[in-house]
Amino acid sequence: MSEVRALQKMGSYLYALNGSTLIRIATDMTQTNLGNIDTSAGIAWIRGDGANLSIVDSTKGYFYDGALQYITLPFSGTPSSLTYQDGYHIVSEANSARFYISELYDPSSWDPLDYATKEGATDNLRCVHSHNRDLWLLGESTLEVWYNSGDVFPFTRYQGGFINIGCKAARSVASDDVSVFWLDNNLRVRRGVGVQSAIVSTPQIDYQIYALTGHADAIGFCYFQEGHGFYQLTIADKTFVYDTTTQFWHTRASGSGDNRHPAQCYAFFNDLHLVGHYNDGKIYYFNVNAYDNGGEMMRAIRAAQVVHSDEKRIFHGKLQIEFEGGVGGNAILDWSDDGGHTWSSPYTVSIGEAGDYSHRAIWRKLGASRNRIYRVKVEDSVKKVITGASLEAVKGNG
Amino acid sequence: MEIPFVGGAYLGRSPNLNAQVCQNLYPVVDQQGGKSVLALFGVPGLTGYLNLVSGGGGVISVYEDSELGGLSSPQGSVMLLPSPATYRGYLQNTDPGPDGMVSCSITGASPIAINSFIHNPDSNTKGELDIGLFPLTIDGHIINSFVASKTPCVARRSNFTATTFSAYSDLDGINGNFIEVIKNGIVTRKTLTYSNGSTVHSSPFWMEAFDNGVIIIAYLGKVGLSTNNIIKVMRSIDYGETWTTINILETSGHFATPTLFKGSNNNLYISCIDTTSTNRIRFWVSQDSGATWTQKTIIASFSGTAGIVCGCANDTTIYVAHGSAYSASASGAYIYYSTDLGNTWTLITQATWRSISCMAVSGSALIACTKLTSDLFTPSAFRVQVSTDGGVTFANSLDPPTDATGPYPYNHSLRNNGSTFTYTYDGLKDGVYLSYYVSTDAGATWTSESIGRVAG
Repeated sequence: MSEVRALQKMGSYLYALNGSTLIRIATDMTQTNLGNIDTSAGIAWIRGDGANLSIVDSTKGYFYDGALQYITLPFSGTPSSLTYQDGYHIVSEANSARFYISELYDPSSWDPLDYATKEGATDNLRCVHSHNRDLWLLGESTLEVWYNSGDVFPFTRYQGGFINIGCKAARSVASDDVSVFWLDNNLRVRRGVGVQSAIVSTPQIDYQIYALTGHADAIGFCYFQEGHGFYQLTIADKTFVYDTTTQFWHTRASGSGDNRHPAQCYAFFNDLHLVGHYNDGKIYYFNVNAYDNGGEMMRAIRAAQVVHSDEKRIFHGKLQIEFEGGVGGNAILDWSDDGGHTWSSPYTVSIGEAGDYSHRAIWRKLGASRNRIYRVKVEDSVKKVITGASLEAVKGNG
Repeated sequence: MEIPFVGGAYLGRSPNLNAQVCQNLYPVVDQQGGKSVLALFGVPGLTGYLNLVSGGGGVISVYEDSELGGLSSPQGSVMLLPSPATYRGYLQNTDPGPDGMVSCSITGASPIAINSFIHNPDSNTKGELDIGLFPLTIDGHIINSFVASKTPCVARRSNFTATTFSAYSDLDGINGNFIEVIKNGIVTRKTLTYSNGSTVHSSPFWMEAFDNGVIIIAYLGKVGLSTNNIIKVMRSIDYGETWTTINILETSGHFATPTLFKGSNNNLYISCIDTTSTNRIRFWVSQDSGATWTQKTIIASFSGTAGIVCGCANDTTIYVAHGSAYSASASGAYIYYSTDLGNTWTLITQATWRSISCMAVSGSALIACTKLTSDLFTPSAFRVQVSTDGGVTFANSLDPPTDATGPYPYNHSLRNNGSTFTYTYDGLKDGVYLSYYVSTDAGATWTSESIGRVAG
């Protein structure tokens, strides 16, 4: 099994890096293998200038102009990221504050003197990223925003284009139509617009991110679907998604173990939201009418906020969770009366057989608690819509 | 009471942060940017779009029906274009197949053997066979590669521990010989075995094939000049699935350098040097796709150093040539031609040549690779020359780069399929060890083709 490491649309083709193999995919889904790079896993970028591709992993650079060949990088170290802007393929050098630009529309040709340095602070450059024709230079602890000034060396820092925050993971950097998103060096998720940035992760998201390991390998992408914009960030075995439309967070998981979401990289191609799988060598598409991840369980879990009333005992008579009915499947309810440390036995009710649109998911005789969190799960591959919940409860005196 | 089930997640009070979960559900609000949550929607699932091909672990890369790609194999599949590689290697031969597709075999130098390379000049697409696919030792080599027929495409590889190859092969084929058959997009590797099931270990061999699934190979039944050899032929009528061994010369002798070639009328010919007593050039003909063979008259007897023989044929004329590729002191090369299926031969001596390594013919164009001086390893000594008068006179067609090192005399190859000629030799030029030329105008002009590899 291989990792789909990068997807990039150029012209009428989609290009994928599957393991070590660079593949060209036509709209009729025919594939052409374009060659192998030296590494088969790990961080990688593909960028295109309309005619040529550049590929960078953590060790080398490559270009494809009809044949896959090495880039003779203009520095002795290793690359740390790749982007493209205004005809220039742009590579940052690892453990350095320098970035280099190719000859115009020619990723095979790099002049060792065609470089610039992120010089507003002394930290090394983590990543170069082009966003709306602004060149973001995300360092380990600071970042700068440059633009194409048309000078001999075409990129220049904006007046005030300096932010005192850095980037933890080069592949966490992603753009939508307005913003740049990334995991910052304080392990918070940020959104940058213009030469400003703001934290979008909530303290609880920050807490959960902080509890993970492998932050430097975090990988993110943005996409839009059905009126919502999403920034999907995977860190280790956990996937967080920021809805840029509602500004709410949710998580995505896959498999019986609620593991990370399979999507590793993204491209919009053939009018589909395509994603590359992180370990099975396949491309999938986000399908709002699919209720599993390529046959893998997609367990929906909602644990609501605490039901309480001045720490008085509450007697829970009936809980009804309003699902969109008639879709089949079951809902599994359990609850915690101790702040999520322990959970009750699960209680399963039907959401409603297919076509039984008026069915209600109700649990009765739920005992008493001063402080209760209800949690509902749907494991079946069915449509999942929750429109509300109501609880018949009586507040006690004690 | 209404409980906050559909509200935003990871926002409000929670005694234990881990208790608050909104997994695979996302809030939908009353209006864009609003905070009044109407519902939680299930996130979209993933539907399979495409199983990507992969080159991981080493992969077969061949073509079928003039297209590169789309192949699968029990070993893991598919074609690749030339990968950047730090390997260097030596071209062993080329073979232009149907639709101008060209197959080149490349033996690897240290540290690892590499691949057979395939080129479609029409589409300028290129592919390769990756020997890493198979659990072979690092000394595995593809010795010859042939584009044998349109369906299937057949390539041949074998695994040797030696690292050199010559016409006077002394290789020990300790691990058997293999061919790969591509049929209906499926690549399978076949281990060549004798009729009794034992594995064929042999010197490098030649291969020809037909579109109906018949594959013919010819090779030395034993290896090494110091031992008696016989010329063996193996024939398959089922795309390499099963093989029949044909001993075309039952008596053991001291044979070397067999060459198998096919005329444009699909007759098959084998010629070799026999040094059992005196040096003789032997010749066999098959007019039934290799099922039966007839030994013809000995083309010639000669004294002195025995060099390689090479041959080619069009519809009417068979050419067999002999020189001394190895001997710096040898002079002259000898082209014999027959227009009566090998019953009689006429000699044309090329007195200014030191040797002839290979030749090919299409229509009236007879192309030969020759060595003009006694210096074995100087590129300028070699020429590709063209004759349009049946081999009587030749004119220069292609001069190998004079600033290249090599080539070695045994690593020239000239093949043709109709009007497409290919010529390769191993020599270092511009950092690339592999030199490969294509001519589509009967040798008048040649185009140098890169295989995309980087010398290491």
